[in-house]
Amino acid sequence: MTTQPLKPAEYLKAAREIEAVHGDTARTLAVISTFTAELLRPYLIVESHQLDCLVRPWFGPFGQLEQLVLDEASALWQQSPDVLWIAARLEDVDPRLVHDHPHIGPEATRQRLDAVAQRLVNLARAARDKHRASILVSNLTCSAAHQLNPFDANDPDGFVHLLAETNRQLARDLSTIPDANVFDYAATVASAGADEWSDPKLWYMARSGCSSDNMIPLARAVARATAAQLRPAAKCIVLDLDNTLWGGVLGDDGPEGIKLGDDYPGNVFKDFQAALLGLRHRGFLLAIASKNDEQTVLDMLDTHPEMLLARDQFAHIAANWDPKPVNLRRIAEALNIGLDSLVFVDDNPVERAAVRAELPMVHVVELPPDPLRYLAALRDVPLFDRPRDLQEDRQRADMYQNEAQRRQVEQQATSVEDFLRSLQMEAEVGQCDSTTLERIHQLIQKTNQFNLTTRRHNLEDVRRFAAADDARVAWLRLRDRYGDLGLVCVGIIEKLDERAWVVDTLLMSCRVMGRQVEDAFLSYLAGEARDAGAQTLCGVFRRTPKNTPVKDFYQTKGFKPVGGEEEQRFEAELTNDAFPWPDVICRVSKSTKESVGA
Amino acid sequence: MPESVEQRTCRVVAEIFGLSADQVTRDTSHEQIEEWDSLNVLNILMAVEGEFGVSISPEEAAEFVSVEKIVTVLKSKGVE
Repeated sequence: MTTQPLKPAEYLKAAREIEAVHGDTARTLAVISTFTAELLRPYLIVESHQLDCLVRPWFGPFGQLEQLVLDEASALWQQSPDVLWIAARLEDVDPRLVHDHPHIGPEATRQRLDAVAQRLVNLARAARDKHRASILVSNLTCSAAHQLNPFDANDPDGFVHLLAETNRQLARDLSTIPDANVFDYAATVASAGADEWSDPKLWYMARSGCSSDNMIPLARAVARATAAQLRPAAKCIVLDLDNTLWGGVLGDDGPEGIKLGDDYPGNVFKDFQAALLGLRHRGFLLAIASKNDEQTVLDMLDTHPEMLLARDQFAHIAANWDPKPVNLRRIAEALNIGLDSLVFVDDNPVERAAVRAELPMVHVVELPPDPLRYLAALRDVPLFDRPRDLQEDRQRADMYQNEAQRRQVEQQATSVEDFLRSLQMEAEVGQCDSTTLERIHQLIQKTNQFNLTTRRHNLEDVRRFAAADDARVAWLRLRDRYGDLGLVCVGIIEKLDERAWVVDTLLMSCRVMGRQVEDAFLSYLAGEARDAGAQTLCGVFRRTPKNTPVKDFYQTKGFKPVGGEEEQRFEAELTNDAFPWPDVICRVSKSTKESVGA
Repeated sequence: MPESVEQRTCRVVAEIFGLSADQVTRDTSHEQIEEWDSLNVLNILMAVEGEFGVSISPEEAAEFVSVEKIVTVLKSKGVE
């Protein structure tokens, strides 16, 4: 974006206008801080609006952290925030430490730093116990250490090194608290420029945490971190080829003529590929949408010595002469993901405009004309922000790759039954515990298609269900000959009355649709209800714009409709032979797996 | 004709408090505007610095109780 940044008064005006028009869609961001954070209000509103994830900021009285968090009746919890930002700064909570360090020595400094981190962790833990809000905790930074002693880092026990260790411990401790994450305040300060970060006048006059100019980068970083708590990340990066992954036009210049290698300008594109490969390792799928001859592209991918991205790293390759929106639709369909989880990268502004016009839900990266700025453009994509890459996320790219192999087998198999058998599926079922809680919560938050009720239970709700005697939170994990698909089904059943249990939640990752996995899972859920004494299992279907694939689920599984408009209800008798486990899937028990692992 | 210092100051104050341009005059002060509190004095300070490209000292900011006073401070700093 090259537009002139707004001036402070214009931010206030713009924020007011945004709130007036879109205020009712805003999510609440509560800020508790050791500095005057309230000055950030208009900046947070404008920046979060630009990210399509508007927040309504609420600020606790300055300097009150424990008072607000520990008291269940405090003004903080009355806001019922969606996200809580615990914004403490080392300069405020232990301002003299950096200057004391040479005198008290590394051990004592470490202890005081640990005390600060421990205070933050305790706050986060207390907040987790009190409320379901996602939690962001600023990490620590101290530019004075370097400013006053440029050789501080020369000392292995220098302040900057001790501080880095404390930040690492903070990250470790927060990772044990569900839905609590580090907000990288240190990186935000460093990237904006530590020397001019704060304005002494605003600090000494009003305890403002940063200068007037730096309200923008700080608010932008907080808005991005907040958005990452509130919405799912993208799933697939769809790439153009010519002048995007390499310089020049493959069809005209030929494989030897295009620019890709270790010298300028080929090295610019090679580094861009390296960054994309890194995103793939984090679990983002890569796909190609290119106006090119398919064979030419495949030859290029297979044989060009400088290509970092190989053919088998792309989940789908659409190289043809169809319009890009057509190919984007194809890719979404082939990978069974929503168009809104695609990020489109193309150097051609006309193609970008075509995609924007036809598929407004696709995130289009505004790739600058100069390839030297490509990496910066990638860095500015907020949909790659994911607080924690779960194991499933990291493996996702491989899983979809395996899916392509599965489809090949599907085409060779003579019947569906044969195909499913050839997959050698193994399913493990179990109930929610601390190791599965986060993944279960993640699926509840993001599953759209195969989701019968789409109830977005928060972590607290899930934990309550899991702890209750008259409810079960169940999961299914799937493996086949091509790889581990991870935890793919979640179900919550609950006792309705003496006779019946109801399925509160039933969802499945759509990458395992059409494999009778849902039958296996339903069989498990029914068995659990039967063992708990139920004679009837009740199903509920709540229609959403995205879950039409499962609108007839209960009928096709033999349930009888018993009415309901908004919430259609179904019932089935839990006779002993109801809901058999499908014989194309082998059921393995957890104990078997553990004994194998031991 | 370009905006005068007073007009620009009125516009900035109007933007800060969500008022229309004609609601703010030279005489507008903290006595009429309830939200003209210490926090918003900081917002006025930052806004005036951004608008006029000057640096306002804490002592000068303490004078910011009306449009007229703001204009006086700006003129004393040579803003035309």
